Amino acid sequence: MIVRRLGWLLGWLSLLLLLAPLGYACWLSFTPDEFLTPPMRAWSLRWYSEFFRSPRWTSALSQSLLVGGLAVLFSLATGLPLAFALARLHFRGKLIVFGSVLLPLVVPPVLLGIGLLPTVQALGLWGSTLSLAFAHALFGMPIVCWLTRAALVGVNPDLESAARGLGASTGQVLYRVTLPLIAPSVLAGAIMAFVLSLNEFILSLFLATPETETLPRVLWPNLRYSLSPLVAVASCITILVTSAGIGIVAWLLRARR
Amino acid sequence: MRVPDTSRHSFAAVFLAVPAMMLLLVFFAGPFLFLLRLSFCAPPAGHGFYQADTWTTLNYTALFADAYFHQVVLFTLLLALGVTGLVLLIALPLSLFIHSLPSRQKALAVAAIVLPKLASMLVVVYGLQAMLSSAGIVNEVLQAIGLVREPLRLSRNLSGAILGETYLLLPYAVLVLVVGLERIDAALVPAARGLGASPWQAFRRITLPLLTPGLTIAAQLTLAWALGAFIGPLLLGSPDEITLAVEVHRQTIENNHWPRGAATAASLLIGVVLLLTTSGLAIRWLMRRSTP
Repeated sequence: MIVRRLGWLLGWLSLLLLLAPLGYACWLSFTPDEFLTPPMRAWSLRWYSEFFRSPRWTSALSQSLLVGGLAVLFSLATGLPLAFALARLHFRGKLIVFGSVLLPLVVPPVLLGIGLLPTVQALGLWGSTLSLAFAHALFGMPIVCWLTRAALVGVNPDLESAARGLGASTGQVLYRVTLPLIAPSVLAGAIMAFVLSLNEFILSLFLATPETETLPRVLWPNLRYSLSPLVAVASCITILVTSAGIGIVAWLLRARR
Repeated sequence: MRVPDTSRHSFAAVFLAVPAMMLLLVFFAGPFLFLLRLSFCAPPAGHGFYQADTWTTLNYTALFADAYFHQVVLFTLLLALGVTGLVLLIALPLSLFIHSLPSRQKALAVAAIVLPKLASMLVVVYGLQAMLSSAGIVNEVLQAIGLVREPLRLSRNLSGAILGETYLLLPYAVLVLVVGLERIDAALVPAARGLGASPWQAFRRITLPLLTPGLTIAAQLTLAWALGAFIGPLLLGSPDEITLAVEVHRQTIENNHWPRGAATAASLLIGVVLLLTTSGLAIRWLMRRSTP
């Protein structure tokens, strides 16, 4: 019994330790000081007002949101049709297609980044917001495809054939029956794609120019050369958005069951 | 029930798969081919990244003759193996713990694992940097309880690099193992226990063998990512001990010597593929031997 209690305590303790750097960054963001000393008695929003007054940080934040939005769009446009093909159609090479879709999630991103920059340059997309959005869609598309495919497989086929039997056209079945049933999973995939894009750093390091800097890209030099509390503010904002995203996704996927 | 008409399905499937395949072709397969091509280009003369339409193996011969490159390769390998071992050592008990939790707590625990994975790795590293700095909380606590007098140097050295990469890679391994544990029939362990097996025997004879596929995937994924270790060694490690990925970044972004950087990256890529296939084969061979 004692051993079990001890294991339980140790388990939660290590999970807390895993979250500690994130919590510490958020805590630091409320410091009133110039340095990285966590606030004990005096808490202040000084660095938050500084963050939102600095054009560099705010434009990076809006750029991140824009890239994230576009990445979601591209992920949906590519991932949804593929999910329908994988879930509903029989064709050869299905496993290979599914496997290759997941590949971008396994390859070390530095290797992808160094190839992406000259590729994007050759395509004439260098320094554009589009290039970042396409690159980030490489991570969003597999997630959207995977979640949507699972939802499609889970749809009761009787519902669709019943609708067809009652005289609905193929398009009507899709819009009135199938899409509403898989909507929570599609939305969950879209949110995941957005969160992944918001936090993606290594591809942005290679692709972003000073005009197209995303939030993590602006964090980067600050991390290497100065540890200003502004970084903590940016970190805390992204952590909040990310946690909200995870919460919504968990809720959406739970409601489906 | 309609009989699936494969030929008509193939046509529709191609139509539906085109957007995704185009994205992968242009922004995933393309870059890797470009990377390989780039590694055979002559270095830039004056401006640009490289000289197009040139073929040379000079980048590779220069690389393999370079003693510094050997040092970087060795450090990358040692760091990757050490981090992979450490990650598995922590991930296995942690995933068993998460698996044993009731469902509501389990969801919370999985969220705690997913959050640092999804949050920018820069944020994780930033938090670690701040915690490990000489005025950070770790040193404060160590000094307060009287373990050390002077603040310890915890980052910008090997311990920082190992700790950073472990933090960044642990979530993957834990998630893969938790999924692997979920797939094991929940009735098997109680059955073994009912037949008189001790908890350890049940783990050793039931859970562990059934978890081997999950463990293999976790180990290989961690190894692949650890070989590409970049953020941890760069921001938390010593500037003298760098990995191949840091070297690639240094040569391309900082020194603007893209062909040389591409040759380094291509070597890393080939190394990752080789190590994954050999380790995969080795694990399969060991498994076949251990199950008569």
